[in-house]
Amino acid sequence: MIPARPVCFQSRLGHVLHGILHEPDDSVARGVCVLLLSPGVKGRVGPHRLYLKVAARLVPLGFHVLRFDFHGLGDSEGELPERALADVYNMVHAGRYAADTIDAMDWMERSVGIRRFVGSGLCGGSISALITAEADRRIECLLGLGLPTVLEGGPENWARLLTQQQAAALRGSYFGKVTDPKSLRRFLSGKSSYRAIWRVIRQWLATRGRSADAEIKPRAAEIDRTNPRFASAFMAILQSSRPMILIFAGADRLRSQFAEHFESHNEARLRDLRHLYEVHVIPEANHVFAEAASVAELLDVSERWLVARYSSH
Amino acid sequence: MREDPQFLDLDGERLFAVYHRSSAPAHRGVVVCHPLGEEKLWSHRVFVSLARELAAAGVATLRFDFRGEGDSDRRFEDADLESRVEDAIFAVDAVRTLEPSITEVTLLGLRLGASVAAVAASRRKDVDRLILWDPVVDGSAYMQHFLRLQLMAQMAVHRRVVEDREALTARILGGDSINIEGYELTGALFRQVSAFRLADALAGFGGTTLMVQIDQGDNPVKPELVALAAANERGRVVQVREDAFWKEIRNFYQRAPELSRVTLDALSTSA
Repeated sequence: MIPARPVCFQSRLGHVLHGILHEPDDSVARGVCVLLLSPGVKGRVGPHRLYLKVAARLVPLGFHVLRFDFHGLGDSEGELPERALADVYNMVHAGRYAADTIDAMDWMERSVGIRRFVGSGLCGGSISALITAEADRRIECLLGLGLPTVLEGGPENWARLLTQQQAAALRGSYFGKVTDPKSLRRFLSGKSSYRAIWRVIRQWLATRGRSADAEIKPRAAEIDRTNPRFASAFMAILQSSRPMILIFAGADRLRSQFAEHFESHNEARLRDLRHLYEVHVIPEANHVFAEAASVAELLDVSERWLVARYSSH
Repeated sequence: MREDPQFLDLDGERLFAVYHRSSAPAHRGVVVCHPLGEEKLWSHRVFVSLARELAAAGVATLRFDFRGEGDSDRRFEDADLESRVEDAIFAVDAVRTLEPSITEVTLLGLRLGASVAAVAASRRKDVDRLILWDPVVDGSAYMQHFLRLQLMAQMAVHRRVVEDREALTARILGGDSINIEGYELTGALFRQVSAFRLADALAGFGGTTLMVQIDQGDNPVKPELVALAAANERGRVVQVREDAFWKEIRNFYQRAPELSRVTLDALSTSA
């Protein structure tokens, strides 16, 4: 039985956030807190209570562990405006919970006196850690479990988060489809992403006549669903010499998406920074590391990496 | 209204609970029994919203995590149906201690949580009402549903079924546990749930029972629920239009307005 106590703290957005703080024995405490950030909508225990298993491994090693619910989730206050699950996920990917995470670190600093953090979490929790780390140097390193590189869901979901550059790329593609019977059939059958189309048209109307617009050329019809926040956050962390370990499940697509949507596009920039992040794939693990053997490997790898990182502290 | 998260001490083990206190001393108290495994996680926010609505309406509400789930002690595989019933009974005592003005206690549960509530109520004289959301009527069928989840997981990882349902059942009855969405389902839990029949539990309960069938309204009320209501002069069944929010669906369910309305209506009258 590891030490645990319920904690509550106020966020800058005015919500009371609820969590559980695990504190190690003073004799082994390292003065470092692992933030296990909520994955998706499942709250602070994680799927199949994965976060309790992680806490049970790390607390005896001297790490504080804080698990808390973001606003609108778990036991915390707040309401989410989205209805579709994919929209909720995409708002997580867009960095919705960076402010809550910074507030949690402020609270830890004020109440427990800890100002050194490891950002961690599964899937949405790891992207929240990544984006928060870009803004806050108190996160010294990242333990990413199934870090997602691309946005969730179909076109109807990513359309809201489309960047101007992505919209510009699509414009040529859409206009080219006007005379394509197959595309027209799809449009009339209701299968098109009207939200994305509307956004592209609206942007075109707004910028029509500007000289810069004339330079935009039709590009790939394939939609780039890469999280527009991902690369800048990832690079910022590496450029500030903060290390990461990324643990992926072999049976889901996140590892290959990371390679295809991020690493391959940033080969040159990563060349001198590659030593700062380590990738570990657990074969046959599914997205939530459900099997006991997957959990065991995840815990072993996490422990080894964290202890090595903090052995001299 | 106030929300007090806390660990309750059950014979040296911690039971995590959140007590939703009403602004004035409450006469009615509700103890919420969550469903099993991932169903608990998907439905969590609905219960949080419900508890807040109940507390605002003057009903003191205790949410808690069964041992082996949520933030409570024990590994999942070390808890079973019987330990969940003990936890629910303990929670009934806890809500009475937390709110001494309570004169009427309701046990409310979803899916297997409803089953636990029904068994716990049958063992107590001081539970006045049961509100059962989409209750498990036949535990054996419910366990088969869990085995199907295991088969789906095999398909996702191995692209084929490597161990069929009969083999899984044999293994679990032979003393092994099987992994269902990350939870180790043991023989004890499998056997106890498989033997559960809601009719048996309700036969031992003398209070008021409201059973709620949750669907999109395009199915008739299940005959087994109609029969259970008919067999109990203080029982009734209603149909409520909501999505199956205890599993992964397209929308994120933060509250179930129809369920809340029906539940608040039921609690507005004496049991």
